[in-house]
Amino acid sequence: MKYQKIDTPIHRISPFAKIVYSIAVSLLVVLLKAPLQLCLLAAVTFCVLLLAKPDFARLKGLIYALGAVVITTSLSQAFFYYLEPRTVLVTIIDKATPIVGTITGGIYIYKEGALYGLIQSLRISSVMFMATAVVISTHPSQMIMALNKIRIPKELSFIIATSMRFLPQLLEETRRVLVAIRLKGFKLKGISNSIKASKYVLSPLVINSLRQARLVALAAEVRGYSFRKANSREKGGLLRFDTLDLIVISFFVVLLYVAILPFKMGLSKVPLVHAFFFSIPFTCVLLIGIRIVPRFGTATLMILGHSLFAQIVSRGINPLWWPYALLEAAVLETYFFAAKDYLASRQSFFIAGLLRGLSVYLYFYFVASPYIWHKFYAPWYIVVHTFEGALGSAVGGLIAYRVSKSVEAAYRHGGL
Amino acid sequence: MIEIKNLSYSYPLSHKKIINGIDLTVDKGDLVLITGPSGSGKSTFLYCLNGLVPHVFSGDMSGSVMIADVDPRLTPISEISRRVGTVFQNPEYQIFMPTVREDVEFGCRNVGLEEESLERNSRHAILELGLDELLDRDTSTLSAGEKQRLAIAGVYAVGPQIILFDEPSTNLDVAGKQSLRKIIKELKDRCYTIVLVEHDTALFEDIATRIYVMENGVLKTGDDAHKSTIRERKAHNFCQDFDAIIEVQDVSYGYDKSSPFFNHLNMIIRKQEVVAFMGNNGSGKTTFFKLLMGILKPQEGRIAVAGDIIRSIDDSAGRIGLLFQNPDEQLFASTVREEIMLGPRQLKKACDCEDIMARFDLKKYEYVHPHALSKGERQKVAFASVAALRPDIILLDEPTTGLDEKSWLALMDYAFSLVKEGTTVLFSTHNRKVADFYADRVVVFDKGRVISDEIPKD
Repeated sequence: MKYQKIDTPIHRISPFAKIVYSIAVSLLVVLLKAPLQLCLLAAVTFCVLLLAKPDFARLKGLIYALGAVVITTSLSQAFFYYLEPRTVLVTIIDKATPIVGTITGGIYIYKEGALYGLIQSLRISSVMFMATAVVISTHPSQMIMALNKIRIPKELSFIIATSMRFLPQLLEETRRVLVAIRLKGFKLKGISNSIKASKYVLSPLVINSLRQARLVALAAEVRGYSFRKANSREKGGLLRFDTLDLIVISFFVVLLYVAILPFKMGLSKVPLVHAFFFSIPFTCVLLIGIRIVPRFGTATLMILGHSLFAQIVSRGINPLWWPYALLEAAVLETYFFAAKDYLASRQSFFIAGLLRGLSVYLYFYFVASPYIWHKFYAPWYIVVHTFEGALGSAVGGLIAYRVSKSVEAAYRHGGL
Repeated sequence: MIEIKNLSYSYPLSHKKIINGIDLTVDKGDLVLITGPSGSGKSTFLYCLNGLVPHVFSGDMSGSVMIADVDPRLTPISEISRRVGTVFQNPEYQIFMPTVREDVEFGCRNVGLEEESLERNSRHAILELGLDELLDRDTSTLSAGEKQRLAIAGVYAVGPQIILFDEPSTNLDVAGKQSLRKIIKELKDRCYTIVLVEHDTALFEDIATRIYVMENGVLKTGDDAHKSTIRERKAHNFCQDFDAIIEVQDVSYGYDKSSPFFNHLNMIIRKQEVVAFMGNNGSGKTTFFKLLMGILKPQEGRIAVAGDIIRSIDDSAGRIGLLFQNPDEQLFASTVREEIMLGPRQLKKACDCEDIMARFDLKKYEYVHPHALSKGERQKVAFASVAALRPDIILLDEPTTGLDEKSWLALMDYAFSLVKEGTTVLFSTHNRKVADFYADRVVVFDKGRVISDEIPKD
């Protein structure tokens, strides 16, 4: 948890006001264009962060992350800048080069692009300052209460609270599972090793979660907390989930968070291949979860639940992430509705994975990138990156199919 | 208070009667202790009392049950929870709220207590269970014993007449168990009716009104079947002259480097030695095992296994085997055979799978999914997969926890058979009797210090 338990003026502000602040900063990030305005926004958000008194280690981490953002944004814009006038500093691939030059239209480093990237990185910096200030100054449970005030569905709030409750335990279990697999001689460093190990690691994590989810649901029932009653069956609500469904979804929200942690550290930073590797674990866990609670609304609750959960726990409330989650959920729900099946076949897992990957990356390059972050990308790069993301996501779907089969085999024989 | 006549129940899609013709009458203020092997139907029996059967588990239920003057089949589960409280084995699963105060109030709010009685009941429960100093504590930061007390307080605050306990002492150390015993005794003295399902019968037998043994869904009484079968010390031909297999030399480790948790720890463990590690939660048993495996690195000193220094967990793969308390965390494959062969295949070690399966009596499950087996069988598969690697050392993390005596005796016997073939076995336990029965040596930790290291008496 990234919450810092100290007393500062920012800590004393109501969580609801902080949500309003997050939304305001996000809107300004989208709307402001002049470099001076962006500088001012970054300065204000940074001052708010300082008022929340982040500890030294966190500040150091933030500065490193910021450095990475500034460098990658400046570098990418130096490559992809296409406004005129532009001055070539270095030629990497000349457009006259056969094949590669023709496909890419030449790769150059432009002076104006680097400067443009530097200015645009102020947008991401402002969001990072805002999110850190909110996350270190608000206890997760206070944030959940504030989200309840803005009337997020009761199911979603229950899922986030339950996920929060079981995060430490699941992290501990994940560590133990990794120890057990390493004692069998599996190594986790390196791409091929980690893929080989992940084939085995997911199964005990999922099965263990399902066993625990059942016990938690029973405990909730005997403590008088029942979603059958509190929710909607009698009232004819849209989402017909019982307590066990929601607790299973909560465990999957935590698993989604845990599954991508290793990738946040290493592979996601590797240019050109990160989209592929980042997509695999997320899609895989997501689709296994949907297969286990196969009904309308599961994808939405899982994706939105994970997005909000990750924001409350570590990223900071950031409304700019919400459209991603909503789009992803809508695409999957539409596919399941149209196909009239919830991942009943290998093909269905593959298509769902592919669609998820495509929707996320197309949204980034055609909406988020030009209209929110104001960044340029060359068409060849967009094609390569989107293809990788979609492929990684489809591969995640196929692994999910394999793990689901294994989980179902255990279930069919009465083990769960 | 509880009147059960000819109760039978089978789970949906199952023909097996998990509860088979039980008759039981429990009066107000009685404490009924039920023990029996895992899978005999003890937990299911409690589900029949608290309404989970039939409200959550449908299945086929026959006979009659009256509990606190209501028939659980005809009463909504929220109404039953006002009269019957349930404390489960793992308090981790029944705590829902972020702070102690909110969690004690959680159940009261769910059953619709009015604000005034809610406050009064919660305050009373908090005081009775000694949680008044932890009121605003984050529930995730509580110790196992504190969590168990909170789970009981949450149930107690609702004001039930009957409290059901499902193996409540499983996750507790010696101090925690004694505190739990005291709480349950006090509840009994206040005339609460208690049904207690428990493996550790010795802890409660003197306060129980009656003791039953559940076997295949039938309650039996009138004999000493619940008594421990441990009689005398297990011996093997261990000799103090054997070579050292583990050398811990001047090891210091701790988050605070100026005053480390382990401060210049020294220990030698010999080949084929069986060592029990004891101590309350947080005394250093787990940290010691983590250092041995290379999960944690000593800040000073060195740890060698068979003369080689362990620098990371990759160095201990194949040489140190670990059996967790929860076998589910180490079952990876989709058949028992594949599970056993997974490690040897990865480490390119020879393994006679048939021999391992025969030794652990697993041949009949060869192509069954390991997770589809009962907990005792899963523990066996996990152990077989560890043994398949023929490690020099096997670490058992509280092997007796959560298993009935028959299951863990079998488990320890497997460990013992490996010792005879040259393996060294280290295990942590809260159970002194188990330590004395199996170990050549018992080491007791307290806050990172070895406070006793001795050969158990016969």
